[in-house]
Amino acid sequence: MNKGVLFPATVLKWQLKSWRMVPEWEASGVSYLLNTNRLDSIRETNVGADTTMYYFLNPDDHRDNGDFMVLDATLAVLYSFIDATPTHASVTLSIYPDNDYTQTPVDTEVLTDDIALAVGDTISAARCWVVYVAKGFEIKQVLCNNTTANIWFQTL
Amino acid sequence: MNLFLATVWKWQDLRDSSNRISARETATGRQFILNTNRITDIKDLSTLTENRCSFLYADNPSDRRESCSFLEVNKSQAEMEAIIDSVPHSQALTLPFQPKKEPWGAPCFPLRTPVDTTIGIWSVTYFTEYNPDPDNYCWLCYYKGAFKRIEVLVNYSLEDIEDIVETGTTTSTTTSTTEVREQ
Repeated sequence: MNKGVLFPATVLKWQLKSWRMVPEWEASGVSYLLNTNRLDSIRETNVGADTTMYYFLNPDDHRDNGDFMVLDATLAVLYSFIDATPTHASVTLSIYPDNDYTQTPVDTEVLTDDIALAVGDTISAARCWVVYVAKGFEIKQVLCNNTTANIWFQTL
Repeated sequence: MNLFLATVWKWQDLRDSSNRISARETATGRQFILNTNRITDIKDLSTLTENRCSFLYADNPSDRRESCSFLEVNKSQAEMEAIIDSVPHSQALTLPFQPKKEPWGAPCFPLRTPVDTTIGIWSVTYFTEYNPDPDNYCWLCYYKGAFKRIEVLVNYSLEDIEDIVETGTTTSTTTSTTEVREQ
């Protein structure tokens, strides 16, 4: 897996799971924590204010063709994240067992290179969903007692 | 991880890449821009008169079916070590992709407008000259994700690509004469 940097971004369109990653009622987009090592074929659109690209959940999986995505970010901003050097290469996620928030979360260390995305839980602002690659072809989706900002700050 | 310009004298494997060095280029070699993240088993073949080394090169190191190609290039082992330790200006490249891999459109052959596209350096397999107009175009082969091989024509020369990798901008100016086909 290539070295990646986690960065916050507002996703305007994401052709994954039939576009449900950004619901129709979210006219301003949805805030995600993404990873630079999953970006490909970035192009400017909307007079340079936005960018289109293909995003891979698992770039090492030959079955992953990449999903079309539109970000509310300029190319210069993406370049700054791609060329950044994070202080820490892993983050500590407080993962709820069985994705059950009534249980006690377990601190789990995950490499930032393996994290595909993080998005806030719509039920509670104190939690977020994290999708990461557990090596090979396995993709894990876990509920964490972290905010996306907390995860991002751990890398800085 | 970095990209570097090298003259390749041999490129051997069981696939089509055995034709990447044509018969008339075996004496002079052919220039490629290669990626250090695809190299392994470097061996020094230098003599007193020339720098030369061989290594195994993977077009797609993420593919389990990959069997590496054998290359001989005009670099010594020491030079290769220095290149591997070097750092590019940026981890991404913004390149003008030529639509339909063809500079000319239709009718009356106007130039097609290239589309600026940014890719990560990690995905690049190689750049090589576009034989009809090497001063203005080159071929790029890169992998989108782990499986999909993309070959595109880029509206830069190899020297322009080298400048962008090292400095972030093209510092060279090239002039070209365009041959207008008469109907």
